[in-house]
Amino acid sequence: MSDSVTKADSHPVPKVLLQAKKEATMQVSGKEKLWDKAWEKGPWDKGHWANRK
Amino acid sequence: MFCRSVTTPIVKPVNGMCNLSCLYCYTSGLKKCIIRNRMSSKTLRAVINLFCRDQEDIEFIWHGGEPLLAGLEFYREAVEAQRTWEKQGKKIKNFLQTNATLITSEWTRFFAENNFLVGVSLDGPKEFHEQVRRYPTGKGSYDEVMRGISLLRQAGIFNGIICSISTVNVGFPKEIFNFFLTENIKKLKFARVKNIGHCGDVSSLVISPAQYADFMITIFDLWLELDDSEVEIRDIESVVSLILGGNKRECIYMGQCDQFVTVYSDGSIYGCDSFPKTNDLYFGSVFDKPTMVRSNSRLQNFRELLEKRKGFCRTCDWYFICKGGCAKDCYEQLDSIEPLSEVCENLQRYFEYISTKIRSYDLI
Repeated sequence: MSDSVTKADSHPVPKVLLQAKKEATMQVSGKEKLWDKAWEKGPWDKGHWANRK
Repeated sequence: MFCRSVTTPIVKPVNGMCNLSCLYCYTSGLKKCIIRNRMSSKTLRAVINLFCRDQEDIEFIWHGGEPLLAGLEFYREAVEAQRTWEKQGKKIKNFLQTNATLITSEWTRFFAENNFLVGVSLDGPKEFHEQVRRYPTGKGSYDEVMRGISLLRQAGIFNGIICSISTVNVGFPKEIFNFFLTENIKKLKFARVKNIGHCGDVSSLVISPAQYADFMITIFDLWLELDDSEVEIRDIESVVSLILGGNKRECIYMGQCDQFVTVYSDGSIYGCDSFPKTNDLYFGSVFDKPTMVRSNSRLQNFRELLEKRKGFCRTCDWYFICKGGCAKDCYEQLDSIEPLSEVCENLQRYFEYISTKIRSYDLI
């Protein structure tokens, strides 16, 4: 059994990481939605929060 | 176009004026530090015009002090001034950061009708929040904040929480994380309380970069263990995305600190409000021509400084994440080129921890 399979069996990859990986791949391939391209400009989701308060 | 500099205004319509007197706020302590002027209609229109004239997509961040103290009529005027530009095809978004104590259904109706997204400052459970976020009388603000959040939620415009981490709550990451989940608050940003040139003495509340890194590492583990994709923790999602080859970037990881500027009630334009009213970052006024602001020598100097800092950091293994880091957090002085080793070491430790965890799942 390969090392990665062993890891997958004992510690399934968290969904949040799988989703992040999927998003990252889409960003790089340019398949992200137009709104998401705002990341290039700056704030990265629907609602920038200034850094401090 | 502003050449990516001076694109995103953090507008302070009442400067540092606030109905609360939070102990770590940079206007806390000495009231004489607070300039109690509300932005005039004339200045407001000049703000809107300056930032809309040369950009197609504009984000206005309304900040304070407490920005609701400007009054509802002020924001009606702002929206009306923006309409003129929207008719010309400009896309405008408004974000507002509030302590939520003054939120009423009238405010939420206005915000909802005009697509404002509203973030709230809340420092975790009542016993932590009320130690630092208080009215000038000393009374805690927790109950009023939660009432405000409830109204914002009902209106569908609640945009999450900024939770400041100080000596009061840094030792309780699990309690804080669980509290937010219990309250069904799933959009979070944590911010380290630090000394940024406060009027009063906040040293008893300031935490070190090491304490903050420890806190965030614990939060990361809790986030991973919970594994709920609805829970967004901005800094962590940014670092995870970048390690996985994506491009989500918090402003502190953009290396473009010249993009954000603070506009005070008199229309003066300064750098990001991590540097409150720093003379070397005075870029002009909203009454100046855009070309004058763009070509301001202080802005040029600041850009050059950022490039020098990036040049220094470029060989670091973690440069792809931090890009030289926050211009304020990571450096001893405004003219420093070399980052503070204490900040770097702990950021690296935090990045390494997340990276190792991701690697353990064979995702990179």
